[in-house]
Amino acid sequence: MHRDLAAIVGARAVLSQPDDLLLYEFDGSVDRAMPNAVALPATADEVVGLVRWARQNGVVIVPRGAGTGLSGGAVAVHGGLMMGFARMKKIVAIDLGNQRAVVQPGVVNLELTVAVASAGYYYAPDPSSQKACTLGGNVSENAGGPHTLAYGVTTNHVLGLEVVLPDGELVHLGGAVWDTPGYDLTGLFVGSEGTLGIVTEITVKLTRTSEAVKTLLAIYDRVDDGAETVAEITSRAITPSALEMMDQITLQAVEDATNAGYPRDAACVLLIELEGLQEAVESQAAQVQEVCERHGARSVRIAASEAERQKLWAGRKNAFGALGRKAPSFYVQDGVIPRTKIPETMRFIQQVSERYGLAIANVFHAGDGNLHPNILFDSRDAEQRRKVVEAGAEILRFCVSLGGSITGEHGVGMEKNELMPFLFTDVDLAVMGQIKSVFNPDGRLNPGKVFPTTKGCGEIRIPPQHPF
Amino acid sequence: MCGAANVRSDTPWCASRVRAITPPEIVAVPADREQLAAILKLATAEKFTVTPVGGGTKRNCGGIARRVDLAVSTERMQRVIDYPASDLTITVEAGITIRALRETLAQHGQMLPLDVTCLNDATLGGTLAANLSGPQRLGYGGWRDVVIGIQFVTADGRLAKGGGRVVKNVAGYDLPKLLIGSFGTLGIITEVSLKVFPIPPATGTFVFGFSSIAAATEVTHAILNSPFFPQSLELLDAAAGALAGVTGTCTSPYIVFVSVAGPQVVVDRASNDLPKLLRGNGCLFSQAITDGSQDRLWNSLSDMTSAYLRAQPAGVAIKASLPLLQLTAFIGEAKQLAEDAQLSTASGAHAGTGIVYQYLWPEGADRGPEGGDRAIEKLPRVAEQIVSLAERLGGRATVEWFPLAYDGKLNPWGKLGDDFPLMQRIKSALDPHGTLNPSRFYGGI
Ligand SMILES: Cc1cc2nc3c(=O)[nH]c(=O)nc-3n(C[C@H](O)[C@H](O)[C@H](O)COP(=O)(O)OP(=O)(O)OC[C@H]3O[C@@H](n4cnc5c(N)ncnc54)[C@H](O)[C@@H]3O)c2cc1C
Repeated sequence: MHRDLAAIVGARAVLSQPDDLLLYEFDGSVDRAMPNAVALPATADEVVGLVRWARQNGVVIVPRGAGTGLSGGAVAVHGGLMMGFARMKKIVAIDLGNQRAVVQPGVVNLELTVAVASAGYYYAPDPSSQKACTLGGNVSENAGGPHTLAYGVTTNHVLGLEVVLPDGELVHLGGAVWDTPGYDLTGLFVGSEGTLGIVTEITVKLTRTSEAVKTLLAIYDRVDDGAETVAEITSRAITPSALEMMDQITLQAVEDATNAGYPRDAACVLLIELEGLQEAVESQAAQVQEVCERHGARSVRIAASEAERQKLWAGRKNAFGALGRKAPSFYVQDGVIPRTKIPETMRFIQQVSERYGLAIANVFHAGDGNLHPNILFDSRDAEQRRKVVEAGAEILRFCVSLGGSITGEHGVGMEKNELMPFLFTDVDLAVMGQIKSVFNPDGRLNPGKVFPTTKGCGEIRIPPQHPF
Repeated sequence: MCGAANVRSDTPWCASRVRAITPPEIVAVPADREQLAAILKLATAEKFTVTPVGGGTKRNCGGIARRVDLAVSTERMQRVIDYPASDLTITVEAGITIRALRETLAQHGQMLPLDVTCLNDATLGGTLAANLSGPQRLGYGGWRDVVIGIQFVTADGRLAKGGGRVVKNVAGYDLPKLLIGSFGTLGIITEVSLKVFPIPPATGTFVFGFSSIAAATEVTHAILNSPFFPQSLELLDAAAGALAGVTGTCTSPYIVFVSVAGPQVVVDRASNDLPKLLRGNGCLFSQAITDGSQDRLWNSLSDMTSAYLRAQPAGVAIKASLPLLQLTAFIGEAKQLAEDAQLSTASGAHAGTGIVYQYLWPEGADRGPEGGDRAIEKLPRVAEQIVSLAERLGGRATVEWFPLAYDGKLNPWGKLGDDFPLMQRIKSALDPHGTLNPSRFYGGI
């Protein structure tokens, strides 16, 4: 295997020693499994070469970006060849006049924004992991982020893709313009979690930066009050560009880790950002402040300088990392609910926490109802591992009962695939399966992901032990 | 299946709505998706071909079917299923007209910012199956950006769905994206969940006139690079202005329409600052409209294609999608191609998204019984040249609207992409017997 792969990508771009493979055993989720080898292609041609080789040898392929995924998407649950994109990280073209950029899949999200910032542009989808995650991984997960509330998620910014299908064919989906004729295969492909093909090039839309931005921090003594504020901001049709909530456990962890300037004693805070014309931002800030105060905010602080604003965001974006200090492990959920149902859902999560005796830290995209309850636990304790999964599933079931979803941005992967029947009927899944067969007929590309593998509806898999 | 009263034999009804060489004689009108599913099961078993019909406004749009055995109308499927207004989402049946949907939303101060042609009759299902959008796409996106869930009936009569009712959701494949723009060839859409938007507190419309296309696009680019994020940015030549009936507002050779919305302070600032962007740009005309007459103006602009088709039934409409910096070249060269062939033409561009409608119709001597034959000879050739022009400039185009008379004489699809075989495979996976809307779609799918 090693020799074959080396002939395609060069010896230095193949890893097959167990020690080298350890790094590729897990992503950001709780699952782990070892690939047989890792190959790092440098060009689309090399990707085609690897895919053809894998096809001839009946080897499964798992594409992998930065491995920050939170649903086990890049975990080689059936072993096989892992394909990494660390050598495909060129920004191929920046075309500001047409508001476009063309990138290779290994480009890190933030690097694209950095490359165009001085010209007054940015790439809008901003996952909290944007310093590390790749655009290829973003496309595959249809990643969101705090500012996708106003600007849309990955799919709203991707125009075209070059992809290699599992039979080795290279095709172009979409293009450099909107509404290319035929079915919207780009739209279908974004969010398909590496199960339809391998992305080798991406054409994205660039967005112009706003003239003004204002960041408010609303501090509450009761979670209910913060949650009610979100519901009212939405229903009053005020449209912040970001509206994030963090609860007390998260705030304390964030302060321990980064000293961002959040209160340690608050029950929760809302981090609210407004963008646009100077005048619009001023008038909306006044409205937001009034809503926060009416719902019992202890104080509403406006970031006085860009430095203060950056510190608040650094705290928010590093929150997951900071939670690592609170417990040996945590299990992050990604359920979605209608935005006005946040108050009752937060109460439900609190009950779950009490019932299972597990602390749950909440840090999430409140403005679009995308929850991230982080269940803290000790993965060395088998009983806790079982309880964590059950508690997580209970929360997701509650989200679905309110008309919501089991995942808003982290993807289904191998973590929630058995929960898909909460949302979808056998027919829904069969139709998706028919689509999958068109692209990936023998299922050799990223097997064991997205679709349920067990017959019993909603059966839950217990994740293996994961040392954090 | 749907009650005898709801199956009509109505040849004229079918012939005026179904785009087929041999249209059906029978139309079934199911009350809900279960009845629709039963009809499609039967059609599969009997090997009927079926065409879904909404408002019947797309008879000149898309490819032409050979033979259709049965029309299925969604006219009894118009219910609002769930409208949690404070969540800014709505779920409705696909047969609801865009007008009715707008009225429902307006009662809550909300809107669906997709301005479409044939507003009065067009249904939600038909419009999104045709992926038609209009001026406000710049500010709010197209169907692919506002649809959050779709229920549909598969060709063989199974009830399926993708997406859901919440604004953020990545569970499973994004089937709504696949159905939007699929022209009824993959499944019949029965229910749609949408993001909706608050009607902005204030809106201002700004109209500028120019003597040349270059001067006009210079200003549209300046506006796109200004601090304003306009809802709409339209660029019409005078001929398109006449088709839309807006030349009463401005008679310049090229007209730019901009709308800016938000708190009143934003409109005030636009009134002040936008005209400053025009300095030295050869502007012949500048006007701000901030009263209620704006709505009428934007409705006329949105409805331009159907106004054109009523006025020029022998004409075609090309939809081109271009890189923004190629609008000048495209509009200029398309006009030249038409003039060289003595055909009339008009350009209506969504100048912020790069989507251009290029209208092309026979004039003077080429009309009437004899001239008609001449037009049938040359118009398809010029239309195809304009499609190639868009491709040469880095864009894509199709002849989106054309009369049945051009059947077999016109390749409306341009050069097929290397993803076309995948599209064919998706069609055969979801509709193996070719039951739904045969040859109505891209490349003859
Ligand atoms: C601290 C932290 C914060 C996060 N915050 C957010 C957030 O705010 N919003 C959000 O949406 N996510 C967030 N995530 C999740 C994660 O960062 C995203 O899902 C991201 O898109 C994954 O990118 P990646 O490069 O790490 O991909 P990986 O994890 O390596 O892979 C993800 C999936 O993409 C597939 N894949 C990767 N590259 C390709 C390719 N070239 N072709 C085909 N398939 C490919 C993989 O097979 C896998 O299924 C966060 C994660 C962490 C650890």
